[in-house]
Amino acid sequence: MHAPKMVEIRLYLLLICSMLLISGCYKKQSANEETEPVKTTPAIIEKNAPSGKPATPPETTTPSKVDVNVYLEISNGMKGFMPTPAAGKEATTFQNNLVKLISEVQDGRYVDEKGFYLAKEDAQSRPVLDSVSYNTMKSYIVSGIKDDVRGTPLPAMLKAALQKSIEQGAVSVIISDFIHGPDPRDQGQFISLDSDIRSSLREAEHQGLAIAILGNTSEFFGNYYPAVKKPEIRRSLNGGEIPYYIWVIGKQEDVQVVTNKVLRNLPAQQAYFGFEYESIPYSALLKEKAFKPAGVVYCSSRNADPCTSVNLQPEKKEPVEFTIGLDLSQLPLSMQTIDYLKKNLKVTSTGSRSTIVSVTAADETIKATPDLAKYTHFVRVRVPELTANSGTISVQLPQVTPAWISGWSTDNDNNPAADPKKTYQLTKIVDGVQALYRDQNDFVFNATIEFKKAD
Amino acid sequence: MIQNFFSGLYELFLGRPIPANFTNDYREVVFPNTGLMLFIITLSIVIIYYYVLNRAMSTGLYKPKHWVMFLILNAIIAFIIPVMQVTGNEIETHSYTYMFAFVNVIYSLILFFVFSILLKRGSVQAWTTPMKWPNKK
Repeated sequence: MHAPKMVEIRLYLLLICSMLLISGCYKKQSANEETEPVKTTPAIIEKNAPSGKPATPPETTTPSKVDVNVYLEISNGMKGFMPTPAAGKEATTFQNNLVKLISEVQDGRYVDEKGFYLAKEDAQSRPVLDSVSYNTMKSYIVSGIKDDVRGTPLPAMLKAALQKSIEQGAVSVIISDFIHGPDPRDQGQFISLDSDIRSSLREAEHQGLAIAILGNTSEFFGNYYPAVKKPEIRRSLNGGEIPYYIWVIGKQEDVQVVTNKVLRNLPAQQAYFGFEYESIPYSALLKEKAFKPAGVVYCSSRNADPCTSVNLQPEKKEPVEFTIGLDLSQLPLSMQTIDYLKKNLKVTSTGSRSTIVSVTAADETIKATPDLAKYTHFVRVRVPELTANSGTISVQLPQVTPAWISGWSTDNDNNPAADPKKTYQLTKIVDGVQALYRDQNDFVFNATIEFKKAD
Repeated sequence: MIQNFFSGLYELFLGRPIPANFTNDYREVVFPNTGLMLFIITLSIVIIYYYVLNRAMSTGLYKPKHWVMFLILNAIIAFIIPVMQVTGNEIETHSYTYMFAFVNVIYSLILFFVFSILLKRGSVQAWTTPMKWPNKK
């Protein structure tokens, strides 16, 4: 009766072997853990609960308070925006907006130190910045300008204002019609306006400051002094629409506090220069029911959140499509609009051919989904073909000059009644600003997903 | 390694996981879990059948039809486990899931038979169940 004994030994051997097999696997797994970014528990591997990996914090914490310097240009050309009040006469848009603006600067909770300056020029066409009280500036806005200031040496004024703000560490808010009014003996300045603007703002770029330009129009009562002096040297307007601009210059995050919280109701005409976001939060969304991917695509690591690396394998019959979630809430509001993003977002790729299928903003359903609530926009990308076994797919927002700039620009502003809402050589002024940042990053942001061909 | 082994074992017949966005969940979680559980449960049932019921307790369940009952019991468990694994890991179910469960059933039949052949000698009452081969006496 040896047989049962033998069997027992075999049984034990089998058990030992299976123990070894399983324990051996444990070891192998723990060795893997060092190289694998995501921890996998061996044997009974459970899908882990919402992973504890902290989301990357936004690159800059929005400051709660900023210092603001307001510069109001008070040349004769600005008088029409601020007519003297009379009974039965309504305030102009300019007056309404400006009073709101300076009162928000004076009393709002987002402004710490404030300064109010009247920008004019002296007899030698040099810019002068008069420090005044809030009440003085308010009375200029509501009751009109009494001074007689002939021109606006635009580049010099910008430079002086900027210099003062940089010294004080404040955000500059410059309000002007931005009609360049050089010394009559020096009309050649018009030719070099873009270079002069660039030189005057050079310090902004050196200090890493960003510029927001907001364009608006207001009724204009009184003498309008066009830059082009022929045939008329001045025109008398009675309520015609003339553009004025608010330039906000400062650190990117400070400028956004001013534009979003101090100015608030921004006009549709906005332009941003030098804005750049090193790391906006983004992720490839592969398991969300709202954004089902198509074709063979999956996140390279099972529990990565955010997922920035995917495996994919497009087939002829079944191209890969997946959605990338982006949190663009840090961007200026005008850049967050769907129309703007649809027009300007682009996808570039090394190692594949990729195109954008659609750009959508988060709707209420998505905002109510915990995993998706952190993303404001969703870009669906189609990858029909790979040209290499690995590479990158990047969603990028290029720095572009908004279309309204050229629409608001003119080469002859002599008759604003016939050709309203135009500023002389606005494109040239903006070109000068743009030239400042030309050598900086070409993109406002860049969200890059790495990919490998799926095995 | 163990993940690759079980992924290879199942994908041999099933192909790439569908829907593809859950490939990692299948390869890293579902396939290894299911494979290991298949191995352990089948072994346990065979041991219970031959060594507990037909040796320690002598329950008289030594006929081939009893063996087949336990084979089927194991197959049912082998069908339920993959489905539970898939749903338990919040993976979308797909006909792939049921094909996977079916393949697991086939593996359970094979494994149950192999373990029986290896272990039946140690049983007192059931050493010829389901058949005498390869034991001699």
